[in-house]
Parts: sequence; structure tokens; C-alpha cells
Amino acid sequence: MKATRRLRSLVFHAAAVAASIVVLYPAVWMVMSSFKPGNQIIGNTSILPETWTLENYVTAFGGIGGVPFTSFVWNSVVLAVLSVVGTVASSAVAAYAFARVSFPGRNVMFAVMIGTLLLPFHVVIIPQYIMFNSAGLVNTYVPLLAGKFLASEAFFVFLMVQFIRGIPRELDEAARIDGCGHGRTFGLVILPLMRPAIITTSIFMFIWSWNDFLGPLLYLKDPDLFPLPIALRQYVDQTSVSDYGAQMAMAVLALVPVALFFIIFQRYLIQGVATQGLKG
Amino acid sequence: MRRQTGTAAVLAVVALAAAGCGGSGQGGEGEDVVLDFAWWGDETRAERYEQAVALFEEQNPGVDVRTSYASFSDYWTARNTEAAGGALPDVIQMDVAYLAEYSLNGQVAPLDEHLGETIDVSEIPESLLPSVQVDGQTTAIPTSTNTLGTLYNADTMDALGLDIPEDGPLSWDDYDALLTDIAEAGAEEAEPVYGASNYTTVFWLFQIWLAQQGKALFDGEGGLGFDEADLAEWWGRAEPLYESGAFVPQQQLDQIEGADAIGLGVTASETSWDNFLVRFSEGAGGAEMVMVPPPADDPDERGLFLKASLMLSMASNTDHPEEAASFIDFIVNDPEVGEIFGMSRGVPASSAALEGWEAEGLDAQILEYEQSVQDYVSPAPPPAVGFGTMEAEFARIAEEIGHGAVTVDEGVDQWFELAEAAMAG
Repeated sequence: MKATRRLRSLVFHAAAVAASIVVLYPAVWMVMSSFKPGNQIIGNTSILPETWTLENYVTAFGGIGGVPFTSFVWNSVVLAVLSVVGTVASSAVAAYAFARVSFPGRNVMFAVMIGTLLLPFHVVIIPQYIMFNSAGLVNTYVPLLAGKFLASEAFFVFLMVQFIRGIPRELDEAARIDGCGHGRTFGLVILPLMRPAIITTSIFMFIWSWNDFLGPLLYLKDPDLFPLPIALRQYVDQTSVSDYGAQMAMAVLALVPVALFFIIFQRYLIQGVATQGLKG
Repeated sequence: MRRQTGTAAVLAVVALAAAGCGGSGQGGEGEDVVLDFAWWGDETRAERYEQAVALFEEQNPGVDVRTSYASFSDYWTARNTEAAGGALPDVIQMDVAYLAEYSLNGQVAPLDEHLGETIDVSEIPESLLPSVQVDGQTTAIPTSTNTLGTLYNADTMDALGLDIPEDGPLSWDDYDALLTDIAEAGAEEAEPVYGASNYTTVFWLFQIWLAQQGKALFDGEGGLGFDEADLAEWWGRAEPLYESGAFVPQQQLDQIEGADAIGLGVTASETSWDNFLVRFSEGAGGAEMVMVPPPADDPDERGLFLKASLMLSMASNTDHPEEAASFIDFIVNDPEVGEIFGMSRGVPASSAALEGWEAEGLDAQILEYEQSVQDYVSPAPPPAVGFGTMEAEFARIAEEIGHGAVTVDEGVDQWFELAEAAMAG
């Protein structure tokens, strides 16, 4: 009896280890490749570098075409932080309205908002570009951030609406008896209770913004404004010489903040998902 | 209690305001003319363009050039979006695959009125000009030229004890035989060496092969200049070479995608653009290369042509055509710019850009090769609508034949069908 249980646990762990090796292999390969000389990266299957070098990191820190590496990091941070702040603030307000305020057309508007989830980004690229271009806002961060401050990320609004619906109405009623209007009910009762949903939203938004490539590619022209994902692609161009080493080094550096962010906040993320299931 | 609500509201307002000024104040309304210039390339090209632009701004006070760049495919994603919005940068780097489309849609402006005035084309070979004309109008100026060459990895050939045929072009059958010899000798190496990767996937080499028989890819009137039998014969060349092991299996090529087979020593010979010499020699792998003319059955009929590359076009939505034209002229003709770029773009199209400096190392090797075949080049094929698609599909179908997924005849039918659709727009 005991032996079978032990065997089962052994098999389970062996399978889990095997699976994580497969999952982690690309990441390990990337980190290791960043220490290889550029000409040993592709076409060479060994994980450990034959010769270790920091050359790639020197190149990456040296920046691209006169734009320093720190500029790319700073731009990514600015975009990510503003995206998080904007999305959380606007989605929370919008979600409160959908969940608690009854106004004419609420259900229709809610359906329309959910409908935008089904609309692929690629369909709206060109009209959006024309709009921002005629407003003279191309080559600024406005096109990338305006939507975030207007609760255009329907997914997060929906997530928060569902969360608020799970908060007992009695709390609102108690606040109302104490004399609160919608503003203070939201600010003093609902918002503090929404912490898990807000953290989930922040983590996802941070990662999405950090990794966003197409938006910055279309709207930013000036290399001084480029965030990291654009800079990463600068090392590899199929029509000329490609520096895979520097690309790997910069990819590792670009992953550090997002990995740290995830490690720090992951317990909240799990908490957020866990409490979402609880009603009342 | 009240204070807390207030803080939240203030935060939201501050955040909104911050978004509004996220643009860090680009492009003030000064008196300077601002030219936007976009190009594709890597970071080394970025540094070169930065230097060239700085020179231009120094010589043209009052003109401010703002550059922007991306890798090739990203570059065209961004340009296509801008073109749809009528907001292309004033000057854009142009490729032959997109020239016909952008010209016929009126997205890039005809440059004829500037030729001989602001833009000097007297130093550009006449044979190059048809390849930048669409409907009789010049819509791009080439900065450089490329031509095809057959490269050999000298280290590998040495190790195998084989000689590189350096006296004039081999005939096609002799070249195939040499590839087979390489594969036979290379099979005994620890890491087997193959002759070449499948050269029938190269659309431009097909043009050379056709030209040697007096035909061409396009008839110059919007149609194709060859028929199904020609293509079947060309693609048919690959089968015996796969059987004899002269061609590296497609699966193995897929594994090293991103690097070059010849640079890594997986193959000993490739036929490619002459400026790729730098990439093969310095990129992943890296070895000494020897470049000779591509095969030809009749050494006087080589079918070679100069391909205009890294062209510059002016957007038709530009507000400053004069300044844009003088910028194009500067990048094309200025000898200092020529020296900054060396042969990294290919050989400068304008001989004015070659004056006053000496090419060194690999640059000298490319220049020497292009000059050695100068007497054999004929005018370049004119741009055609759908060229980009045709080239991509040509390579894809040829690879599928290599995989054995389709037969040559099926592949030929597929390609003609796709080509007709692409030409229709």
C-alpha cells in the first residue's frame, strides 16, 4: 500500500520534472546563449557556451544608433506604469457603474462593451491610425495610452464587474444609510474590497504593455521614444548582418523587470483568482 | 474619509494629464523644415544613417531630418498602415518588391521633374534606370546595386581537397557535378558537408537562367516572359541533386533558420547577392569566401543584371518635395556618404559616391566582383505588380517540391495560378 503510493508520487514528480524541463528549455537556452559569442548561437545545439563572453551585454548596454539602452527601459516603464494606472482607474469606475448604478441603456452598453472583446485589434488598426494621425498625435504616447484611460480594455471591465457583483449589496445599503452617495460608496466601500481584482488587472496590464509590439511599431517613429520590444528587433534584420548575441542579451535584460514584477505579485494573483470564486 | 475620496479623484486627474504630455514635445513649430525619413535595417545601418543625416543637416541648415527604422517585415507593416492613412514619411527606403504597388497607387511621387535638377542621375548606369520606372515615370532612385554571384566557402573546399573553379563560369551541368563531388567528399566528414542549398528556390537566379536562353521573367507588358515548360525544367533540376545528396535536405535547413548554411560550413557553395558576402563572412559561422559568376552554358550569354537595391522614394503626401529631393540626391551621390556606408548597401549605384576613398577588405572583394562582370550585365527586369508575392510563392513551392510534398508539375500549376492572381492585383 505504502509502496504503491510512493511509486505513484515518484512517477508524478518525474513527469512534472520532465514537463518543466521542456517548458523551461527555451528560457535557459536564451540566458545561456546571451553568454555565447554571436557566431555560436545558431546551429549549435549545446546549452553551455564553449567560451563565455560578456561582449553581448556590452553591446546591449551600448544602445542602438545613438539611443542609450536606458532610454528604451525608461520608455517601457513609463508606458507600462501609465497603462496600469489608467486601466485600473478607468476600468474600476466603469465596472462600478455597470454593476451598481442603474441607468437607461445599461444592458445594451454592457453587451456592446463585451462585443468589443470579439473585435480583433487588426481590424481597427487603419481607422485608428488615420484618426490619431489627423489629430497630430502620431509619434507621441497618446495613441498608446488614451484608450487605457477610457476603459477600452473590456476584458478588465468585465472582470471587475463580475467581481463587484460578488460583493454583498448589504454593504452598499449600509453605506447609503450612513449618507454616502455613489461616489463615496465606490471610494470607501467597493474600491477597498476590489483589491484582488485590481491586482490581477495591474499584473496583466503591466505584462501586456511591457510586451506590446505592434502599437509602438505603428505609432512611434522617433527612436528616442522606442520601448524595449522594438529595440529588441533592431539587432536582427534578414537583409543584413544579424547580431543574435546582442538580441539575446537585451531580451534577458528586458525580461528581468517583468519576471521580478511577476514573482513579487504572483501570490496576489493566485489570491485574486481564488477569492473570485467566493460569493458573499 | 472625504480626504481619501479626494485623493483618488486627484490621482485619476493627474494620470490623465500625464498621458496627455507623454509625447515629450516632439517636432516644435519652428522655422526649420522637418523631413521624416524611414528605412529598414539593423543597428549598424542605424549608425551609418545617423552619420549621413548629421552631414546633410550640417550642409543644409534649416532642414531637420527625423529618422525612424525597423527590420524589413516590421518596416512594411508600418508603411502599409501609414500609406492607407496618407501619412507616409517624406522619404522612404523602397524595395523592388513594393515599388510597382506603391507607384501605381500614387503613394510615392514621380521624381521626373527633379531629375537633372535637384537629383543628379548622370552618374547612375543607364541600364539600371528601367528597373525604377513604373508606367514610364521614375518613382525611386537606387542607392546601390547588387548582382548574383556564386560563393564558395574556401575553408570547406580546402578541407575537402577540391578546387574552386575561378576561370570563368561553369556550365550548369558542370556546376551540378561539382556539387555532387562536394557532397561525396563531404559525406565522410564528422559533420557532413553538402554541395549547396536548393538553388532552384531563388527567383532571381531563375531570371538569369531564362535570360541565358533569351527569355525573361516578365515580358515588359505586364505579363510573364516564360511558360510552364520552362519552370518545370528549372524545378526539375533539383530532384537528381537531392537524390545524390548534393542539396542539403530541407529539414536540416529549417533547423538552422536564421543562420546561413554556407557560413556554418553545412554547404560549400551558394548562389546569392554579392553584398551577402559580408553577412556570410562575418555572420554566424564566419569563413573566408570566394565569389565567382553564376553558372552559364555559354560564357558570353551570362544573363546577369544589376538589381537596384535600397532605393529611396518620396511620398506623394510630402509637404517639402524640394528638400526631400535634395536629401535623396545627397544620400545617393555624396562621396562622404558613400564612404560611411562602404559596400554594406551593395555597390553604390552612383559612381560619384565612389570617388575619393578606397574600399578595403570584403568591400573591395564585392566591388571587384561587380566590376569584373560589368561587361556581361544586361538591363534589369522592370518592376511588376505582385512581384513580392510571386517571389515568396516561388521559394515556398520550390521548397515543398524539395520536401516531396508536391510534384514538379503540380507545383508549376500552383505557381502560375498564384502568379496570375498576384498580377491582377
